[in-house]
Amino acid sequence: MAPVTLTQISKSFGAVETVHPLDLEVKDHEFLVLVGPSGCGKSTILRMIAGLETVSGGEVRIGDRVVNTLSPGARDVAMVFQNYALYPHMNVARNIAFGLRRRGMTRAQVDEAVLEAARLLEIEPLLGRRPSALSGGQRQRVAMGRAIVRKPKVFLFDEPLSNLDAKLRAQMRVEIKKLHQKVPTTTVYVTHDQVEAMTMADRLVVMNNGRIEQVGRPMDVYAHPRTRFVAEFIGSPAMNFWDGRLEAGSKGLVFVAHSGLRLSVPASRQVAYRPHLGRPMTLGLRPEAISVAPDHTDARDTEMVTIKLVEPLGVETLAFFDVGGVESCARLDPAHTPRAGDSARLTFDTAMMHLIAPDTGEVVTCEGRATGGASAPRTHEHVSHQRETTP
Amino acid sequence: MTSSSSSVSADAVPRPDAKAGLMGQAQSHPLPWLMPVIVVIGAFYLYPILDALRLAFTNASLTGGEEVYSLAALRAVLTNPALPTVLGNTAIFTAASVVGQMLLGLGIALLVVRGERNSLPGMLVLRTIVLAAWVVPGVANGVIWSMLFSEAPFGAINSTLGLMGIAPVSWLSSPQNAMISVIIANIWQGTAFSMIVIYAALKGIDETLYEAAAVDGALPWERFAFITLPQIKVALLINAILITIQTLNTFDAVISLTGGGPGRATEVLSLFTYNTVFNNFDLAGGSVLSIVLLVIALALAGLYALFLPRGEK
Ligand SMILES: Nc1ncnc2c1ncn2[C@@H]1O[C@H](COP(=O)(O)OP(=O)(O)OP(=O)(O)O)[C@@H](O)[C@H]1O
Ligand SMILES: [Mg+2]
Repeated sequence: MAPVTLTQISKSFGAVETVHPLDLEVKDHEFLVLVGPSGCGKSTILRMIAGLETVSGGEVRIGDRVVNTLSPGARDVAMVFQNYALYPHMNVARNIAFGLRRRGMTRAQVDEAVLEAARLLEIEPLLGRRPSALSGGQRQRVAMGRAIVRKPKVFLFDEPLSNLDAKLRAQMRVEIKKLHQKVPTTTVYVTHDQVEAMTMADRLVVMNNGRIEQVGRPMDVYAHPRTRFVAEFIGSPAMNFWDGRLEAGSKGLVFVAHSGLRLSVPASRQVAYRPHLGRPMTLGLRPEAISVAPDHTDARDTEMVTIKLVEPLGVETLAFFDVGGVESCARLDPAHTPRAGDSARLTFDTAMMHLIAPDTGEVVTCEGRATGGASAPRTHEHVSHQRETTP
Repeated sequence: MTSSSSSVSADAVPRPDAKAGLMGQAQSHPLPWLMPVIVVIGAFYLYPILDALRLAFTNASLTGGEEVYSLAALRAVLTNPALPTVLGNTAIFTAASVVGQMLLGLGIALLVVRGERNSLPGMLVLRTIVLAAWVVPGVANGVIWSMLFSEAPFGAINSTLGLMGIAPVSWLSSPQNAMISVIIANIWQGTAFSMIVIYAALKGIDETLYEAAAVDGALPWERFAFITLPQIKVALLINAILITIQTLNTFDAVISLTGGGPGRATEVLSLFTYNTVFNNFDLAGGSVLSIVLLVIALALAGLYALFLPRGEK
């Protein structure tokens, strides 16, 4: 077990720089999740740590050793691949034993270690089977067995659950976390699924276009996204965004959306937001900050909307409506949900609002905002580039 | 499929006739559906074999005459003092060719796959060159190599050796060398086939297996031994069957390179059979020999097939 330190590492394929120089430290025993949209360079970073991909620049350190020139086998890392990459011609026991045998352990030692790993993962009855005779979830376990049996310094997971169905994914998610509690090996876990990222991470690294957007504990990232990209990517259903401008009202700042929706800025943020008075800004509000207003009040921060669609999910109901042509979503209490086609008055809780500068995509900081940890320096050039490709 | 259809019919649910369809008819009355295949196979494969079997027990000659059933041909062939030599030649020629083609084909295929993985230029050219040898007709192959091996002063290989100050080698006139020359020529021509078969098998291996093995700490040779070889085992065996049969049947390259000589030094079974029929006009003897050839090929194919994985995947 050891920390992993990436210093200014970058990767280019030909002339294209896929991973721009970035710094990242994975602490000892930490479960770090790399999350981001497809093609943002998560796997590339993981593969550079594993040594399956050379770095174009910078330094990879495992423990206190620079491993840039070491072969994957010499780095003492274990990797779980998306397609599991089990050796098809070997049975489960030999699959798990393979790495140990290559490291010159005796047969007796190997057998014992394999059995121990198999017990931990509850795959003992499968030891004699070939991978082709296993279900997806069982293969997943074997792949993990192959990783843990070696007691490596670092675990690397590349979207290990993406081939499983939703139920099994949720179950394996819990099991991987439990396993990490039992065997707290430094782990880098790559996923594009933000639910996985939120639920599993000690710390979360949100990536976009080969750069780190934000690093932080899941709830900090959720509550205090640093950029519009992070605000949009983390959280499901996604945050609502309305364009408008900040105006001065009788009781302080008011955000006026293009649709005419007027939302008052909470007192605690007046100072922080004042410099943006009069500028075109974007307001971000999560669906859970919107609720049905008590009977026909005409209070502040409410708006009559026509509900276009409702999605009952059991514990909550999602209601979709239009704000100035922007499809918006509210997360409502199922007991008090209007029906599709109904008009309803909704309350917008601006205490949870995010104010975003549309030109840079950055969220305006205000008090109470947690610091996120290491992050690549952000330039204007990069943010505007990022916005172009954000769907 | 069958179980589901039987469970459907077990229910009393009336079934529209269309559902039974063609499949149903084919299952209950297979013969009409198989007839075309049986006729074609029978006419073009089975009949000649059976006829050869019949001719082996006659005194048939290529020049005609009355056919009488007898065991004379069988006895004559099996007691022919040349037969052991010919069988020995065949064994050496076949074994060396098969091993050589497999090893060379494997080597080139590994090289090409590696080159392609590292996007080296020229891999397509390499593949094409190797394939070019394969499309050369056997007789032409023999002619090409007889020019290369020519012991006259202008012989390509000997004159090159001469430039390096090495004495000329009697490629075709010494019995041992002649066999080596024939084997070289045959390997040169046949390697492409093995290369293509093995190349396809190598291409089919999941790249991440190598990555997993690398992370597991496997050295390059271990990756080859524990990933590559098991993954292409079936392709290698099938390739071995195909090129063994192919080599057993090769006589065109031999006939145009050495004509089976010097003496009988390079006379392999297929050439011996050819000579028996077309030089000695002994159709019955030739039939006996071709049956012997068939039996050897079948036995070898069966032997290889023993190593093919059965049942389990
Ligand atoms: N060997 C390669 N040659 C050229 N480009 C590559 C290579 N490998 C990856 N890339 C490019 O690098 C970028 C990042 O790839 P990477 O596999 O790291 O993405 P990812 O974040 O893991 O995406 P996903 O979630 O789809 O797996 C992609 O645009 C990809 O096309
Ligand atoms: Mg990936």
